Amino acid sequence: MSARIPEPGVHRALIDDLLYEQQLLTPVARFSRKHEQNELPAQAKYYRDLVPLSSPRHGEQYAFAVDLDACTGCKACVTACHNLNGLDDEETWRDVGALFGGTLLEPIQQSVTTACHHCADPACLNGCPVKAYDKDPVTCDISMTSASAANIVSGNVHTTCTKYSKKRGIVRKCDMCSSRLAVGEAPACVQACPNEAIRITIVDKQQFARDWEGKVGFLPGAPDPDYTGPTTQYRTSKNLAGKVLPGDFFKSKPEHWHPPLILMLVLTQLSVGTLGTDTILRLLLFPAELMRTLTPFHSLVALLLGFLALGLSTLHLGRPLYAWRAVVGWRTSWLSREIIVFGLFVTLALIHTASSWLPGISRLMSRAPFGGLPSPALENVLGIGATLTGLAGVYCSTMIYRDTRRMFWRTRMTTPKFFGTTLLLGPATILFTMTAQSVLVPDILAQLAFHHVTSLLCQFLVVAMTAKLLWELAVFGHLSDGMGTNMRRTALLMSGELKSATIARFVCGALGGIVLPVLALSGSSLPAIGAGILTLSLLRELLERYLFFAAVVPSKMPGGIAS
Amino acid sequence: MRKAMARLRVNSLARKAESLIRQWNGKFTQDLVLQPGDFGLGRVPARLRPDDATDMVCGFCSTGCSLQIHLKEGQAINLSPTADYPVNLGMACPKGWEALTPLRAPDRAKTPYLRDANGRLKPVDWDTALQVFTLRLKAIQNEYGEDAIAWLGTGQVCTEELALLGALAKFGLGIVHGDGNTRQCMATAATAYKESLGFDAPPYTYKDFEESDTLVLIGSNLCIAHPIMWQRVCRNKHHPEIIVVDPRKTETAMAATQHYAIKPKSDLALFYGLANLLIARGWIDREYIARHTTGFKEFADFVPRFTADAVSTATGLSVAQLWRFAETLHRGKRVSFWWTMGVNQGHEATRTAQAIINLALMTGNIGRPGTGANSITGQCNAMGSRLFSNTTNLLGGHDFSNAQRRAKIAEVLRIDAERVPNRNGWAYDEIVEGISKDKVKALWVVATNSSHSWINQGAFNEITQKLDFLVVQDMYHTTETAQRADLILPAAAWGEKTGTFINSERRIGLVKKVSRPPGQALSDFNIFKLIAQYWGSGEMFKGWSSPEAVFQILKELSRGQPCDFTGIRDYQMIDHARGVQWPLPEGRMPAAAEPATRLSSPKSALPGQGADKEALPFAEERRLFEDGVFHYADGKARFLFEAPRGLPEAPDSEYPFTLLTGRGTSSQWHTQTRTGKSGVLRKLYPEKIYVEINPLDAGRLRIGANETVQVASRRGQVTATAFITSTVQAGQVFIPMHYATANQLTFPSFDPYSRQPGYKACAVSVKPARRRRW
Repeated sequence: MSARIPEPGVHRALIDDLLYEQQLLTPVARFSRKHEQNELPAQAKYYRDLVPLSSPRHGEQYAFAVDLDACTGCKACVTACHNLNGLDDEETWRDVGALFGGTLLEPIQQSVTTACHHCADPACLNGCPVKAYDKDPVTCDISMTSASAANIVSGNVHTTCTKYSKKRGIVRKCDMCSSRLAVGEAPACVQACPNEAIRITIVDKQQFARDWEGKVGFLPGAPDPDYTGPTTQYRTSKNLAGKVLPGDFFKSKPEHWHPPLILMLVLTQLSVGTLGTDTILRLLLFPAELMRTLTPFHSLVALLLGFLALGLSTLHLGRPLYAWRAVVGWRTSWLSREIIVFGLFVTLALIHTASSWLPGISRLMSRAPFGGLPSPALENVLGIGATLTGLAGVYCSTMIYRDTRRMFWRTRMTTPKFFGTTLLLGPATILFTMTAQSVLVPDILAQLAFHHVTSLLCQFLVVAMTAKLLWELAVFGHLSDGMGTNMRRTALLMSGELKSATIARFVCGALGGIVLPVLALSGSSLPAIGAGILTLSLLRELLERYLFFAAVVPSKMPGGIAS
Repeated sequence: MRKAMARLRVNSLARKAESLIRQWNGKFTQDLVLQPGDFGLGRVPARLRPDDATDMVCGFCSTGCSLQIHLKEGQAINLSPTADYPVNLGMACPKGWEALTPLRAPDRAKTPYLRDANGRLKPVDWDTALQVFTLRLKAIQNEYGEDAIAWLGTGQVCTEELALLGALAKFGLGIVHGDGNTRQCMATAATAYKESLGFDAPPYTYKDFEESDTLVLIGSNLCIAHPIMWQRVCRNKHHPEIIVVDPRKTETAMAATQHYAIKPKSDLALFYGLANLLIARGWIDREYIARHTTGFKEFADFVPRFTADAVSTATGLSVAQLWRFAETLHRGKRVSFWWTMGVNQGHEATRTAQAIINLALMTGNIGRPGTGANSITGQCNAMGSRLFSNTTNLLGGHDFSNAQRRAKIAEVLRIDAERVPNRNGWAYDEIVEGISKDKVKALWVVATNSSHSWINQGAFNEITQKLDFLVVQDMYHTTETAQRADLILPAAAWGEKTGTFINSERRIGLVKKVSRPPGQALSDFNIFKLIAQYWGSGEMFKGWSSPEAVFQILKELSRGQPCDFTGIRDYQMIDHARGVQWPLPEGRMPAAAEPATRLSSPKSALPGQGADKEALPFAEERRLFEDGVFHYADGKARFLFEAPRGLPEAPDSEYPFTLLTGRGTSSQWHTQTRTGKSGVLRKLYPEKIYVEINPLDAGRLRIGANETVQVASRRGQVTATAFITSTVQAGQVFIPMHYATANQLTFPSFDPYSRQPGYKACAVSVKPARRRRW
């Protein structure tokens, strides 16, 4: 054994040589094969039978056909799509989930590859406020413009189909490699499936939409197909219906909670409620004199919060600067409609506020076009108009969520919530501004009507809040549902992972909506209570809306094992 | 007319307005444009359009798929599977598709690291690292003797590198004990073949998947572990019976025509039982047995005790199922048996593999198309390691104890025969035991992650703390093992170096440099050369100048062996021939069993490619033993058998479950040091450790779906998410091996012949981690 130890640096030359050599790449010309220009792709021989020979005719489109018997869950399709379409580092347009079930003696596991279903009546396209999607009338594919798109696309039924690119602030998705199909090449996933489980077929669009009507035969564990008419055809020789559940069915992770949307929804509803409450008070109940003192403040608060809500809502967009485009989809998109209607609402609220603060404006407007309406009447007209517009906006909001067809967001769940918030926060805000004013202008405390208004509002709050809380508690009735309902999963989430928020919500509600108003009625110091009621009510509604987003169970294509 | 003009103007204005709002050709659209890729490719992303392309073999598993690397200025920018390669026929699994991503990971080791006085790993330069390496090892060797240093190698680096490591360590550095992570995956198959057939020679070619009428997959979840081999099963036109023997209803079991969910590790009894039924019915090939085997009589005397009833009890299968299995084997004209880790990683694994070989021999199902007793290997170069790592075998599949062989090797390498040890070194588990007994004081770990993967991980990590010096040579400085090292040597990865791999079907494939390693990382080959120089053995390895030069040495080492590949001229020939299976002896090209046709259609017979074909004087896909001559002197295969033993750690009242471990998904590879670096692959497997448990057990233990549970064995305890599924039988639970804590539970049992650890069964308990209210 040589005990010779090299001097430091003796072999530096070798190190340098090797470091230099290491950076040289193989001169592949030594190995390269000849490839003719414009030759058919070498891969073509494997996929020739997996794509149609002809193009779709009028009324037809391309569609994916998946042979579930052949799909063994290797997931090559996902990575091939990623590489051959040059997607971003973690971006995938295709997913592979799995269904599990069967019996003890005959267990089943079935992998499911899924991408955009190129629906006959795509909800993403219909729901997009910026018309970012287009469905090619000849080929099929729903492709995208470079337009901005919302983070959560309304009507995004399958949720596995459209993919949000955070880097770009837009949604991207599978276009069935339409430019490949156009030249006879197979889409990446079709090219890459070792088991030939994915092929492209041509389907009749109308026929397809009809076939799915009222049926659930699309794929067990997937959303009902009758809504959008997914054209993907899953074929299997196994009888899976009623026997399997998605691998991630019991995943107990809350969904994303979209803070800008929470603020936007709660604040627009507060704004509408405030204006509405003020209008009703003025119209029906109380002397004009008191209201003339109060209304300017109410309308200003409503206006500012309305603006704030709309401003905040753009933070939810991938590209807020392009928010103005969001009105172009009004023909089909409830999101567009919501934006237009709330835009109108804040405009009316602005005029209303202006006229209540600046009598000059009011006088100016009394001439034309209202033809000499006295200014209080004009204010009433503006107030009613703004309120009705605002309520229409709240209705649009409910429709956006209803259109996703998630159980927790059904009309019967969402409508009471959104209008309930409007009904609760309006009076709470008015109560607060009134009590705040009473601090600034103690004179109004002398008016009897002032006390009538506050006690009426307190009584209303107690009743409304009790009703809303009881109704919200009803969701826990679903805990006793059978294993498989989405509402049970929502209830499980709310009583499990989201327990703290759930408890806080009910505590805030009981305190702010019941205990404090009762205290106020029994004659405690109003200003402090007014602030308390508004803070707690607002907090409560924000928590309620947080749970609205976090505890929803998306209707989606089956996912894999969740851990 | 004017009206029409006005309308036109309005229309074009409207279009302009629309294009402002709905841009169809903005920058985001440009991101997605595809263009013809040339080089035989279809359309590729425009911004990733290659200016050249080359093929090389994938660096994950032993399937040995070829990937076409898309190059820009010589550098890899993308890849797709090679369309015309006899292994993967244009396909790849997710790992292959994502093979370039792990190279770009931020935690690549860019310089050597040395642990300083404060116990922190600090970057140092190569000179310092190599000084320390040499000084410390020599000091330890001088102080404690020749047993004091050991190395743990790998099946993940090139054959040329493995050979250099083995030769350098044993002949240059005087290290006696070296083993590799291949001990964990295929030692059993190697031992079983060697004893039964006379040489470690997996006899098949992948075409056999297509040509069988009956495929028997044992302990092999082919769909997930080797998806591209499953592709070949899908190409089978004979509507084959596919039999899966596996305790779990795996993806492969789902795709099978018959699934036998036996009790864990009852496979040996099952195969003896099947042999008994086959012999009893006369469903055997007496002529083949007589001409090509020995030991059948003893075997036939041994198996009658494995009556249908006894085997039914042992395996949990019904007698009718056993008969159906036996009858399916009998009916098959081309029956092939395939096994993977379910067999190899057992406490009586060698005998189990041999029981499978026995079935193939007695039914004459070997050496014909669509037949064979076929071990599917694990790592990309486990087969290279089996022949050339210089650990269990002397270089080239020779025997250390044979003086003639030692002389042959010494002559080829032009070294003193005295430098070639005359005894086998310790196996992996014996090295670990050596550490615990203070015999081994320095350990050199190359391209493996023992702190994660070794059985009974907790004990391993405790024992290795006794080491005076731990060197880890790896592409990442963040692996569990590297984090414990005293010295880290930064290695270039697959795709950053040249060399060859040998796949499961004995096909030698090429690896090229298509990417530059980060910082000062060097190929393992170059690191070994530096070590030789610093140690003072530079002269001995002068001829080992480059991987290509070493390939020529390897050819000489293989001469006259069953694996003789002296007929392979050079790297260009391997590339040109799309990989070459051994054997290919010089001057004795094996007769083409089938015409040397491409798998491609006539369409691809383009000028240039046509010439390629005629240049191949041997069949592209070849199997062994077509002449029925095995590698014993008498040319006969052996029937080897032994009575089954019970589970080394059977479940009991305290630990009532049997824990099965195995592959989770096709997007996970071993300890995830690489697959965990790809965002796309990470999306394709469950993020955290989970345990599959049967609904009956979950109900009994009141474990809810996705609830957190504690899985405990006598050796450790892990927290996992429960996934309730009847794909795992009652009384058994399954945990994928890829998660860092899984091996805290496993029981260190070893097959006595192959020394391979038995990862597949140990006793555990399962309890809910916390109570839920509902």
